[in-house]
Amino acid sequence: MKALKALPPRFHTAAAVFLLIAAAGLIGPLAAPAGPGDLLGPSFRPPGADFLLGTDHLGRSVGIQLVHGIRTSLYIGLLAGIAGTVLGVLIGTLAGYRGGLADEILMGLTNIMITVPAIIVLLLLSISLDTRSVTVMGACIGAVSWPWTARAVRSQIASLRQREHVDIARLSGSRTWRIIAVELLPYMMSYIVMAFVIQLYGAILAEAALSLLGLGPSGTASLGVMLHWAIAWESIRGGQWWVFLTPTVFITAITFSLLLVQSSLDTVFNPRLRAGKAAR
Amino acid sequence: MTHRPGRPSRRTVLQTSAALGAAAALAACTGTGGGDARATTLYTAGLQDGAPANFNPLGWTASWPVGNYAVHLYETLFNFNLLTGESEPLLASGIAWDGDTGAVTLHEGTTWHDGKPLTSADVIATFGLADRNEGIAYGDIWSYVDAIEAPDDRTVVFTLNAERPQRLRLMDLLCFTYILPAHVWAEVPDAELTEHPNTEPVGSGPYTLDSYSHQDVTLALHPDYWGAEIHGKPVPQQVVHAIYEGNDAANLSFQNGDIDLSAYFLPRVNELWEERGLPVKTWQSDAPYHLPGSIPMLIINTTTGPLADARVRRALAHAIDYAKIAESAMAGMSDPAQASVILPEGAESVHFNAEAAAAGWSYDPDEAARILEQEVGAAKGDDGIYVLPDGTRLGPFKAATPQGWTDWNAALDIVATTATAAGIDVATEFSDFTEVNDNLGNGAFDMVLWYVSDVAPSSPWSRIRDLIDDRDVPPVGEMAFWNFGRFHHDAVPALLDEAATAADAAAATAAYTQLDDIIRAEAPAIPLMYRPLEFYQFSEKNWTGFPTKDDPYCAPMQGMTGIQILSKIKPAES
Repeated sequence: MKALKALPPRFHTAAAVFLLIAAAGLIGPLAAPAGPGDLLGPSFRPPGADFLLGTDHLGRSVGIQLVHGIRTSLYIGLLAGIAGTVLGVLIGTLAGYRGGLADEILMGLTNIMITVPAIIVLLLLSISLDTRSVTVMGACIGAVSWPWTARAVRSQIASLRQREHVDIARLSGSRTWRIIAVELLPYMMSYIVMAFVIQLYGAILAEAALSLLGLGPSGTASLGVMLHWAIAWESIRGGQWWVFLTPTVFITAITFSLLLVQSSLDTVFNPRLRAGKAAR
Repeated sequence: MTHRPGRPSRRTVLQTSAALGAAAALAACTGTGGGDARATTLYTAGLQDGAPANFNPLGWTASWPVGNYAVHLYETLFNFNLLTGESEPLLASGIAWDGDTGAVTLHEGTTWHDGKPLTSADVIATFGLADRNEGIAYGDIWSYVDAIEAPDDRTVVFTLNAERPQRLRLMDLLCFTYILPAHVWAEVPDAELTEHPNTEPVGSGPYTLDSYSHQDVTLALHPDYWGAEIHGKPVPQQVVHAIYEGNDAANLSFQNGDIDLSAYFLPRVNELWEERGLPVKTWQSDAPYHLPGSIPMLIINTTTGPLADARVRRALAHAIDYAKIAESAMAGMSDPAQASVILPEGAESVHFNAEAAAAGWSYDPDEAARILEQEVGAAKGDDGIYVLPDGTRLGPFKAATPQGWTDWNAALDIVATTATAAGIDVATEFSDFTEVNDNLGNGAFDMVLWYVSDVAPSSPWSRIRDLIDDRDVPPVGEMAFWNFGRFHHDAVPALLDEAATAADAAAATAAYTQLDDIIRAEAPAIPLMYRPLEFYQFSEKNWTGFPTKDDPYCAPMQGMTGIQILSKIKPAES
């Protein structure tokens, strides 16, 4: 609680924005009068009384697609964020704690994964997979996003394991997993939470980028898919601003608010940035 | 995308916006040199994507203007008129039929760009190239032609195979095969015939290749064009085909008047003159704006599952909102598709039977429900999807088409939505072209939206054959090149042969209507919309006199119109 009070005001604003959007994504689809694929009206009807955010090229409601799209994007973000964070922490911890050959192998793998541009791996994965479901897409993004987390966790663990309480635990015969879970990870929690936030917004952007290229989940509304069709149907040239502006604004709002949340947490938890105290 | 904290995501956003910015910048500065050259240069776009690779008419990747049925460089013997269905003289002045032999006469004075005469020996050598390399597209000529002979240097006699006298197929060939100079192609080794880059093409057409780059292909007027008196003298001194990265940039350029004639898909094209007052026109000023030339077909796999049942397929045909597809997916650039695989306008209209088409399916979910409930005995499940008496659920069926074909994607989205609402579960799947093509050929699909035989001298015969003739079609698992849905009907082969050899148009129409009736009864493929062979919108800012429905001197196309447009347009008065 004390930590929460120490957070700067922008944290609360950003968290409120994100929670509002998330709530729209959770409640919106349930409250919407029709499905995202329903052909409700004429094509490209501007925002008005009938359609709050207008209609798209097929006459589907942009507003209804938006709330479904937010839900899809959040689902992919959460799935990929959790997968990426768990993988990163697992690999980083193992490498950092074990050291030696295990460290060499795992970090070698991590460095290779960092060097290979993840977007290319993602593109190849998306093209080669038969199914384009939302879950598969989330898993793919998670599978390529762990390396930076793993590297950071590994260096932290490598320094933590030198501490005396870890030595004592080891001397008293504790098992490796217990030492990691009880003696090491609690010190890492703040970092893991921040890493998760980064993974979350990274994954939401990755989904948007892939879908924009036309490799998005098929048969589902997502923010990136909305943007893809907005561009494919040339709504920018045609002046149908509501079609491309809506997903753009919401992708920006989600990722920017998450970025603010992360950086606010950083100012509290990162000793080098901690406000009002001498660094180091 | 990398996930380095803070940085990469922003980079992605920047890249995306940079790409859009670059496209806009490209659009702003492409093309149009200023001053005098602009007034005598015709700028076109939309028939060449990506950097020009080669100008080889024998290969499969020739750059504009080779391919696209355009005759700037190479000419064909005849020109197929999309409006009338006639084969008009081009290099040839006519064809005289005597039973199974057709004698083609060449115009007097035909010459190549290098000044050598173009004779009947060149025609024979061109068709003879197919014997030297089996990768050449017209290699199947010997399956319906027995001999090609030249009694003199102006006459070529084609003798048809008496067992399969396919006049229609021969006319396809005479309209769509570029005649090549024997003295040039004799020196190309057999194996290289289809690979030869041919970057200095010697043809017989009114233009020569001036230069090419990743940005454009430039043609210069050939001053000694042999046909100037017979066909007219082309007006533009240069024809430039500008190359764009995508539709957005190209359409923006066209809108700015930098492009005179564009074949890009331009949704809501009518807004350009109705709302913005631009000097832009299409074939006709009201919907559907373009002349239809092909029918994208929803091809259904008739071999397995519930879709093997003709009644289920017919119910599906009643569950598709054709008007919505025309209005939204085609952005109003198509009339709602009728229950016929014959085009109701242009060359095929003589064979179109409006009464029979009206008796076929139409969007009617109640009728779909009636067929499924009363004829098939299916019952609606809790999720709103029908279940057959044997417990099989209707779907989910995958409806596939290549990613990026925007109007096709949108049409399938509408099929999926309206069919699912009517109780047949259809989900779209947009993937890579090659993947869709392979699955289609091997029969590994539920339904695919695909192109089937455009309008041509042999259509609608060729289209109906490609849809439902199962002679020489391998079983599922092997690559088929037509009848992808493996539809079989005992009466089809005889009716097709009857139509091919019919004595007059009325007899052919009678056979076509019977074939169309079979399709209407069994729904192996469902026409979803009409599409022009080429989109055709022009700007009158720099040139006027393009053909329109009010001045229909030729079809609204850059290809298949000989040099009629090039010789009739005039610089706009400034």
